[in-house]
Amino acid sequence: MKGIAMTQNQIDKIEEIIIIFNGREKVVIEEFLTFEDVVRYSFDNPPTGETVDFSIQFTNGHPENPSGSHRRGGHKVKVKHRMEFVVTPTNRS
Amino acid sequence: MSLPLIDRSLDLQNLRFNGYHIELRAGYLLIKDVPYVNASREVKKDGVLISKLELAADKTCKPTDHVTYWMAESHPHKHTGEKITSIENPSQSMDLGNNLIANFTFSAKADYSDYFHKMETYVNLITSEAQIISPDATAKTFPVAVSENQDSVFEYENTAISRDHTGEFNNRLAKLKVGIVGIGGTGSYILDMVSKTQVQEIHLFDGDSYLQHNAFRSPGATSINELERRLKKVTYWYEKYSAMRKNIIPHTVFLEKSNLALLNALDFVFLCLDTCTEKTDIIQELENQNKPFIDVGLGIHAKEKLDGLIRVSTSTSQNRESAHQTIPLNNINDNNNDYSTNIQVAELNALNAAFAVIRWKKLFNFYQDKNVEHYSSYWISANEIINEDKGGTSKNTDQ
Repeated sequence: MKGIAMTQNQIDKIEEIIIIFNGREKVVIEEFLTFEDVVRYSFDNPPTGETVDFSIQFTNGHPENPSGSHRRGGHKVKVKHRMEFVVTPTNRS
Repeated sequence: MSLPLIDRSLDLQNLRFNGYHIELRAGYLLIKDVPYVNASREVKKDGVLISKLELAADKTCKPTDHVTYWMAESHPHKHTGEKITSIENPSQSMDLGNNLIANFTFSAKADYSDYFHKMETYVNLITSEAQIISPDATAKTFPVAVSENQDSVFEYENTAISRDHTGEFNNRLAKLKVGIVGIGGTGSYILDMVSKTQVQEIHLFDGDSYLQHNAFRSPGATSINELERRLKKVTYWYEKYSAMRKNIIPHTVFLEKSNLALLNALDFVFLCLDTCTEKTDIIQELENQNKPFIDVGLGIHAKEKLDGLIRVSTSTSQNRESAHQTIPLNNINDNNNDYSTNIQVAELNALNAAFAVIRWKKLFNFYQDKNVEHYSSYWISANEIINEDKGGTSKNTDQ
C-alpha cells in the first residue's frame, strides 16, 4: 500500500499532550502511564528499585477516571491533555 | 452499666445544661446558689430551692406536686422589701433529712410540664427581684459537673452529649483500648480527638523527648516552663490530657521487635510514625494479632509554595494486601533532596489526624460509611480527596 502524505492541516491537528507533574509541565508521548512512568516524569533523578514508596494522586483526567491514586503493579492511567499529578512520599507524622 | 438519673431524664439534663447548680439528694432535686432578696433588701446568693422528685421507670416523670421548699436564712422578698406573697405558703419549717431543712414552703400552683419548667418558674420568680437590685445575679452559675458515674473515664462530663443525643453513638467506642504509636505532630492531634471519646484506654508509644519545634505542630500552647522540663513526649501528653480523663497510659519506648507484646491488649492502633524499619515489624505483629489499624502520612514539598498529600491507609483483616501497597515502609534514597518531605505544618497534621479519627469512627459504627474506603488521600493544591479500596464491611469489631 502506498503511503499517504499528510497535509499541513493534518500535521497541525496533532496536539502535544502536556501533563503537569508536581507543578512542572512535561510533554508526554505515551497513551497510558504506569506508576513508574509517572515517577520518571516527576523527578530529574528518579529513584529506581523495587520498592518505590510514593503516593500519587491525579486530577483533571479522562471522564471515565478523572481523579484517583496510582499504584505499582502494572496499573495504567489513560493520559489526557493538561491532567495533573502530584507525586510524593507520604512518610511523615 | 446503669446511667445516673440525670442522664436518663431530659429535664434534669436541661437544668444542668442551662447552668443551674443541681444536686439530687435522697429523692429530692436541689437548685443551689439561687440569688434572692432578704428581709433587709440585700441580695443573697445562697438560696436552695428544693423539690420532691417523682420518678417512673428510673427517670423523672411529670410533676404532680407543685410545691417546693426553700432552705435559706430568709423568705425571698421583692426588691421593694415585701415578701413575695404569690408563692408564700404558711407551712412550718420541716426537716427533710439528709441535711435538708425546708425553712419555708412555696406554692405556685400550675401545670408544670416537667422539672425544668417547675424549677425555672420558681427560680425566675425569686431571682428576678434580686436582679432589679443586682443585675448580674443569676442562678445559672455553670458549676463544673464533676463525674458522678464512677465508671466514667472523664473527670467531668460532656454535658453536651445528653443534649445532642449522641450518647448512644459514643457508647459504641466505650470499651475500646486504643494505641497511638508515635506522638509527633499527627499523633498528638489524634490523641487530642480520641481523648474526648469514651474509649476505655489510650496507650501512647514514643521514645522521643518533647522539644521546642514540636510545640509548633501540636494542640494547645506549650509554655517555656514546660519546655524546660525536657519531658518525654508521652509524659508531656499524659500530663496534659490526664487533666480531662483517666486511663491514658504512657509508654516511653520505641516499638520494635523486642517489645511488640505491648500491643497485645489493644483493640485498635493508629500508626503515626515517620517511616522506619520498625514499622514493618509493627505491621507484621498487628496482622498476626488480627488487629485493625490506620496508618497516616504527610508528604509536603516546597517549590514557590507548599503542596502535597495527606494520606490515610486503613488495614483490616479484609484488605491486608492492598494496604501494603499504600503504606510506605522504606525511605527513598534521596541524595539530591528531590523528594524531601521534612515539612510539617500544624493544620496539616491536624487534618491528617481528623481524617484518621473519622475513618476509625466509621469502622466502629459511629459515622455512616458510604464507601468503606481503605485508602484516601487529600491533595492540598487541588483541594480534592480521593477514596479507593472501597467496600467490605464497616464493622470490624468481631475479630
